[in-house]
Amino acid sequence: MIVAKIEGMLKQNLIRPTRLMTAFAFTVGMVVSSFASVDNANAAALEYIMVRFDSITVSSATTGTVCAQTPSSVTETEVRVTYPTGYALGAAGTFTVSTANLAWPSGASAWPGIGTATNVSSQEVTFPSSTLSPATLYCFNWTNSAAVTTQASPSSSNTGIVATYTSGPSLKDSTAYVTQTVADGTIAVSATVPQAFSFALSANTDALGTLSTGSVTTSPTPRTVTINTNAQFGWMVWAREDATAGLSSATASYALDSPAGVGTTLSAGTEGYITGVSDSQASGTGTISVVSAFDYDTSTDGAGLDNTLRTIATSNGTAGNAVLTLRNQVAISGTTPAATNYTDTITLTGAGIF
Amino acid sequence: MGIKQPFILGSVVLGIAVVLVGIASLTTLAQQKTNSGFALQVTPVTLVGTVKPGVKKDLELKIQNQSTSKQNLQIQLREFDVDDDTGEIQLKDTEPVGISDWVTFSDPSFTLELDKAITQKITVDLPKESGFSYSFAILINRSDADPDVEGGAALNGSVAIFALLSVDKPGATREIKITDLSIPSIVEYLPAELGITFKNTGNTFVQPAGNVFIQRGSNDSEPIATLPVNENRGYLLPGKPRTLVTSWKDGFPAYQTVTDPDGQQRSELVWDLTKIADFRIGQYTAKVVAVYNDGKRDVPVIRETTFWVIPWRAILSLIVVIALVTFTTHKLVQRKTRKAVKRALESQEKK
Repeated sequence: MIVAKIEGMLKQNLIRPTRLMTAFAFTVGMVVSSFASVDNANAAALEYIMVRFDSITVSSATTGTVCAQTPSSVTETEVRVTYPTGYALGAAGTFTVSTANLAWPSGASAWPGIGTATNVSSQEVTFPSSTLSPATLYCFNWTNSAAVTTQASPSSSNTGIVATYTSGPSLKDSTAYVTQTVADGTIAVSATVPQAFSFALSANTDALGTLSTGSVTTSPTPRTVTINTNAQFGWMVWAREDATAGLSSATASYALDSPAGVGTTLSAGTEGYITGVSDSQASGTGTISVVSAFDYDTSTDGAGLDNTLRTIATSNGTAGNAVLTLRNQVAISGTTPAATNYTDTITLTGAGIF
Repeated sequence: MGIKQPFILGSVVLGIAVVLVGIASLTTLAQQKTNSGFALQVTPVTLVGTVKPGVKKDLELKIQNQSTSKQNLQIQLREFDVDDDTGEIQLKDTEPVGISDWVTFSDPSFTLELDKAITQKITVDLPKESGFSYSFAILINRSDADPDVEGGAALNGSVAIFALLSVDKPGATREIKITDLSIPSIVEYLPAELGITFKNTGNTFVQPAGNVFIQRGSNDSEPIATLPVNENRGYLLPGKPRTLVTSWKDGFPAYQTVTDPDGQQRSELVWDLTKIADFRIGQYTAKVVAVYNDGKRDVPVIRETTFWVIPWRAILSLIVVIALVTFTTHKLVQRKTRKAVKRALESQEKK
């Protein structure tokens, strides 16, 4: 009846064939899209999904692993993996697969029916699949790094999709995943400039001369430690005294000392013995940090040492003529035993940091 | 005669000067001999190697004497530890337990002439029942007795080189966690320093890498800035934490470190108008994607935090200026209005 009416209208030239074709195509399109949308509306989320790239460094060819767990029992025929936009994909034939367990999540099983990809369309890769049992986690690996190359820009949110299809193909389950790309990945960097560390102590002695109760005696010529290094993480310097505490006299059986590692300012007439450190640097990326107790340039002048290696200064980068100026200071009281052999041994150790 | 006298006088002065210079030189030389200090250069800074149990492995360490005199030196093993809380390296004065029997030096005691170098061969020969990794320090110091200093301190210099040995045997696990991500909650101007504290939960050394993504939201795919994590490939020791710092510097204005002529470093706010597009204000997300290789593949470790960039002093100053301008304008208008009203009233009264 309808066909006869249309034929009549055509004969009467009331409608043109081209318009009829357009209307037909539109109607078919609407029907198909409504089916598709119905199917999408029915698509459930996969219960578990994992797409793991073996290298997440930018622009690196990589293999990887796909895992999924379906929520319900259906007859899957294929799985489609949509890789993030910007990832370069090889031809379908490069997506060879393996079900050898390469550190899969605990309890995972080999993906049944998985095989080399049958199609690559834009970012979507279609792999064949057999029926997946619900509540079972299935995995497979794509084993040819020519198949996927990560994107050129680093990002913390590269999204893709894993979807399972039944015959038709008809979308069954679908879930998005997120992966990352980093610019500074784990590709080994071969160093061409060897790292070096030099440590120079300006002298092996620091004579303090004759001490007086009227003043605090400071190193007349402060000794320096000069460090040059291209160690990127910087350097450290430790100091310790010998087993005999402080500035001691064997003949007087007496030692001038101050608490180790405690910032102190000496006063004339009150016994004490401290080491203070000042810093400067000509060049380099490092910033020197003198441990506050030993910092001569703060409210206190330094601290006592003991027989334990104590950090006195650190730096967090390279150093061009980083200089630590060491000032030993001593004060005596009216009751300090007289002797000419008050002495001490201070060991200074430097190292570049790994 | 008039010429001779100045000539003789000049010769005498020159002679005295030569003698003085000679004495000064001798004194300096004598001082150098007795007080010549200690200066060594070592290469590399850290000895890193992989050894197989039961297989000898040689590592090389170059030592150069840069002091002003011959040095009698010795090389020894020392323990070190990393503080669990601060991550600071603590060098110890004791020999490492267990490792001393398996590590030997080609020249445990040696003499280096001025400016000469030696390459020490360090042989590692681990037994089959060894662990998965070993870390220790190699200490080089003078073997001579301490100088006598009556009324002062003798100073001993020494250089330490850290050694990190991975053992190639089944069962080695590489795994790290991010235990802390610290950044001030409010930053006035960049740089914003981000401290990423890792903990090595495996049994061998790990060099994490990766990026910090600075973005507005957690799931942004295009970050505002991408910062390196562990750009210099520092090592994490098994069971130990380490905080690695990275800085977001691209801001307008931004603090920069400058070095004064006297070598002192200080921070200075730089207003570089070419970077005006980098003006930062508002809330940002710092998302760390650290990655390590577990021997087979990259394993990402992700953590994020948010922080604010608020140039609060500039904003406060602006508010104060606006308030002052508004107040002043209001007062001026008020004054003008009063005057106008007064004039109007006066003119009305006159009428």
